[in-house]
Amino acid sequence: MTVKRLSAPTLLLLPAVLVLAAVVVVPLCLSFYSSFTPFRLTRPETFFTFIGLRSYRNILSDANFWWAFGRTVLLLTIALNLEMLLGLGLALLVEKASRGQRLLRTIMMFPMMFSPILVGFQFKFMFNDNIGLVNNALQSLGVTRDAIPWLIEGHLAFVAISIAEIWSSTSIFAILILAGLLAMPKEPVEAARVDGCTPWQTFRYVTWPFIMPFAYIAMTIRSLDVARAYDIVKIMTDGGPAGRTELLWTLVARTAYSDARMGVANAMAYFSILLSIVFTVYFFKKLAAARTQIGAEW
Amino acid sequence: MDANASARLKRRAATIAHRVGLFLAMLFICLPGIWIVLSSLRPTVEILAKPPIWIPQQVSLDAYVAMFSGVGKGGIPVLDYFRNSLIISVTSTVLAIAIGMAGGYAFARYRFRGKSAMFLGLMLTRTVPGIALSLPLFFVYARLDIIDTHFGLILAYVALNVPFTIWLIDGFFRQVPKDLAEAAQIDGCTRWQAFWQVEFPLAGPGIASAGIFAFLTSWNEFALASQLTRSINSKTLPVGLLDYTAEFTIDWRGMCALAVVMIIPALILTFIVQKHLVGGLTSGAVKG
Amino acid sequence: MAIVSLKKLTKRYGSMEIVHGIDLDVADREFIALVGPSGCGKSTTLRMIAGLEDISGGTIEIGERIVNDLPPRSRNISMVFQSYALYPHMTVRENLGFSLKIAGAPKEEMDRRVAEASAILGLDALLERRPSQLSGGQRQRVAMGRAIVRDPDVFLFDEPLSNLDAKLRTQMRTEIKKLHAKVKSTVIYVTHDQVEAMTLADRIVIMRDGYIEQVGTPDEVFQRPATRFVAGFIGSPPMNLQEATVADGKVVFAGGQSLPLPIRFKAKVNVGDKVVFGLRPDDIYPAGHGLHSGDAADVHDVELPVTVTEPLGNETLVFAEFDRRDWVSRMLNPKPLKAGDRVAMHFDLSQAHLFSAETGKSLRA
Repeated sequence: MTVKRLSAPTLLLLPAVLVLAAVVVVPLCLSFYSSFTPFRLTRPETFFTFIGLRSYRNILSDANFWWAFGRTVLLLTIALNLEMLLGLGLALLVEKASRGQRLLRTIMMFPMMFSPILVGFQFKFMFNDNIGLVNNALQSLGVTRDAIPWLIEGHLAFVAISIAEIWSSTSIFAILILAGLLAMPKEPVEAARVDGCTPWQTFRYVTWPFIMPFAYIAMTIRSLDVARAYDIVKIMTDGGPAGRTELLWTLVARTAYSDARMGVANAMAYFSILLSIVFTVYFFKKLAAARTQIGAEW
Repeated sequence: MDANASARLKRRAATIAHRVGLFLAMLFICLPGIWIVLSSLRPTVEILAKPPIWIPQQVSLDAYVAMFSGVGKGGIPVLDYFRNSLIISVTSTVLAIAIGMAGGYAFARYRFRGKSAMFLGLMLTRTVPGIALSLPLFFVYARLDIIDTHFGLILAYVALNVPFTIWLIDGFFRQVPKDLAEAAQIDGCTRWQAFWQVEFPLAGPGIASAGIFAFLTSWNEFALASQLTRSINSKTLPVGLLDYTAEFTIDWRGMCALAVVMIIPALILTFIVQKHLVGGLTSGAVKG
Repeated sequence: MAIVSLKKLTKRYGSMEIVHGIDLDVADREFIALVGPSGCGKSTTLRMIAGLEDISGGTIEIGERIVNDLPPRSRNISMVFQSYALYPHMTVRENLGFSLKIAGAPKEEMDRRVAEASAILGLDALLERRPSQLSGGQRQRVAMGRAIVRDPDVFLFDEPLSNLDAKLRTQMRTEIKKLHAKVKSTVIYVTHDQVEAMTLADRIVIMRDGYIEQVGTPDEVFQRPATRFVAGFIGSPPMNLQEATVADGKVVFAGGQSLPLPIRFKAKVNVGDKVVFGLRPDDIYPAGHGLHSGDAADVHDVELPVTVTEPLGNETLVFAEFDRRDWVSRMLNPKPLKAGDRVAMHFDLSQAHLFSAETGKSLRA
C-alpha cells in the first residue's frame, strides 16, 4: 500500500480542481509572473527580463489608471445599489399583483437572456444621438429640440452605460428577492398588520429581515460577474469619448492588445481581479451570516 | 364613516399606483427588445428617417435574407458563427455538467475539512474578469497553438462554468432527502447505484437547468471569445456582432436582425428553466 | 352593548360567494366560538373582522364604529394565529413589546406591560429566547402574550390550538379559559373542534357552507340543536341520525324497523312525512347503565346484537345493530360485553330529536 486511497469527496472534486487549475490558476500565476517583466507580445525574449515592481510603480503613478479605477468603483457602487433597490421594488410590485403573476415573472426575467454584448448594442442603438429611440422620443414629445449627444459627451455616456448596466442586471435581484417573498410565511406579516404596523413598518420590521439573505445571494451572484460591464462598455463607447468612460477592464484590454504591453496589462489585471475578489468575499461573508440566521430562526 | 371613506380612497389610490408602477416597469423592461425586433423588420430608410417614423410603414424580412445570403453581398458569415457557437456551447456545457455534478454531489453529501473554504475558492475562480483571464490564456494558447480553435474556447468555457454549476447542483442535491439514497442502499444498491437510480433522477430537472444556464453563459460570452478567436474557424456570434460595427457606417438593421437570431435560443431556453434556476440558487437560503 | 356586530356580512371571490350575508352580535366581554367543518367560512369571517380580508358586502362594527374599510391597525384588535406567527428574528421580549414599540409607547410603559403579560402567562424565564428555541406550547403562550399586551377591544383567535398535540391542547384550553377569566375581554375564537368550542365559549356559532346554522350557549346547541347538521356536529360521539318516515304513532326506518313516535312530536308531524330521527349515544343504553332513569312512558326497549365495543374505562361505547346499521350507545358503569352478545337497549325517546328530511330544520318548534 504505497498509494494512499483518495477519499470520495477528493475524488469527486478532482476534475473541477484540475480544470480550474489548468485554465485559471496556472495561467494567472503566469500572468502574475509576467507582471514583473516588461513583456511585450511582439518581443518574446522580454518575458525573461525581470524588472521587479516597475510595472506596478508605473501604473500607480499613472493618472489614467486611477481615473479608470475610480470610475469602475463608482459605476459598480451606483449600479449595484440601484439594481438592488429597483430589483426589490420590482419584486414587491410583481408579488403584489393579483393577476398574471406567471406572465409578469417571465417578463421580469427578460433582460437576463440578453448577453451583455447585446445589451450594449441595443442601448448603443437606442442612445444614438441621431436615430436613437431616446432622442427621437424626447424630440417628438417636445422635451428637447436638439439631439442630446448621449454617447458623445463623457458624463452622459457614463449615464447611458449605467442605465444599460442596470437594465441588464436588475432582474437577477428581482428574481431572487421575489423567490424570497414567495417563500416567506404569510402569518408574521398579517400579525404585524394586526399589531398596528403601517405597510412601511411591516416591510421594515418583518419582510425585510426575511428576504435579506435572498438579496445577499443576488449580490453574491452579481459580484461574481461584475466584469460583464466590460462587454457593454466595449460596444457602447469602447472607453470613449477620449477615455471618459474608460473602465479598468477596457483599459486592460487596450494596454494588452492595442499597445501590446502585456506586462503592464497583467499588473493592471491584478487590480481588477482583486477588486472582484473583495466584492465577492464581502458579500459571501454576509450571505453566510444571513443564511445561518435565517436557517436557525425561520 | 369618514375614516372608512378615506381608508377606501387611500386603498384605491394605492391600487392605481401599483398598476401604474407595474406597467411602467414592464414597459421599461420590454421596450429595448421590442424596438430591436421592430427595427430588424423595417427598411433602413425608415430607421434613419428624420423626423422619426414611429409606426412601421413597411415590414419585411430583407435583413434576415441578406444576413444568411453569405459574405460578399453585405452579409457576414452568420451560419459559420452560429455553428461555432453551437458546437462550443454544447460541448462545454456537457463537460461542465459532468464535472459540476461530481463536485456538487461532493459538497451536498460529504463533510470534509475546509469545505466552505473550498467552496469559496471555487467561486473566486469565477470572479476573475474574463478580460483579465484572457491575457495569460492568450499567451498560453499561442504557445500551444490552440488560438482560434474550438478546443481552446471549449476548455476556457468549461472552467468558466464549473464553479457556478457546482453551486447550482449542490443546491439541487440538497433538496433530495438523504434518506432516499440510504433507503436505496438498504434495499441493496451500492452507493453508485443509489446515486443513479434515486438521487440523479430526482435532481434531474435541476441539473438540466444548471446545464441550460451554463449553455447560455457560453453562448453569450464575449470577453474571452473576442481575444481567443480570429476567423470563421471559431468566431462565435457575440464576436460576430462586432463585424457590423467594424466599418464606419453601422448597418443598424443588420445588427438588429443578428441580435434577434442570438436572442431566440436564449429566450426559449430561459423560459424552460426559470422555475428550477431560482430554486437551485436559493435552496440553501432557507434550509441553511 | 354589542362590541362586535356583523350585519349581512358577505364575502365573494369572483363569482363564488363563500360567506352569505351573516348577522351576529357579540356582547362586551363575551367569549364567542365560531365552529364548523373546514371550508365553512369561519376563518374568512374572522379575517374579515380583523381586516385581513376585504369584505364584499354588509358591515362590521367594532365598539360601535363601522370599520368596513379600515386597515387592521386602525381596528384596535389583536389576533392569535394558528401557526403562532411569531417574529422569528426577535426575542420573546421583543415579540411581546413589538406592537407597543410600533405605537410609540414610552419605554417604561412597554416594560411594565410586557412584564405583566409575561407574569400572567409564565414567560419570565423565556424572555430572552428566540421563537425557534421554544416548544410548541411555549410559542402558543408567547402568541397569546403578544395579544394581551395590546389591551385591545377584541381578541381574535384563529384555530390557536390545532398545531399542538392532544395532551398540550387540553392543557392550553384550560389556560385560555383561565386567561379569559383574568383579563375579561371580548373574544372571538375560531375552531373546528367542537369540544374546544363547548368548553371555552359563552356562546357558540355553528357555521356551515357560509351560513350560520345556530347561535346559542353550549347547553342550547347541545340540548336543542336547531338543525340536523348541528345535531350531528356537536357532541362526541355524534348523535345517531337515521332517516325515517312518519307512520301512525311511530317512525319507520328504511330497513323496516320502527320506533314509537316520541310523544312531544305528535302534534308536529303528519303521517307520511319524511323525517330524520336523532338520538344521542347517552340516551341509548343497556338497561341500568344509563344516564337517566328515563320517563317510563317514553322509554322503549329493543334487544340488539353488539357489533363492536370501545372500552374507555369509566364508560364503554357499544355499537349495536338496529335497522341494518350501527347505533352508538354510551354504557356507564360498564359491564363486560363482546361482539355478538345480544343486549336489551333502552331507547330514551323523551330525549329524541326529529328533523325535517327536506329542510334539515328541527321539528321541535
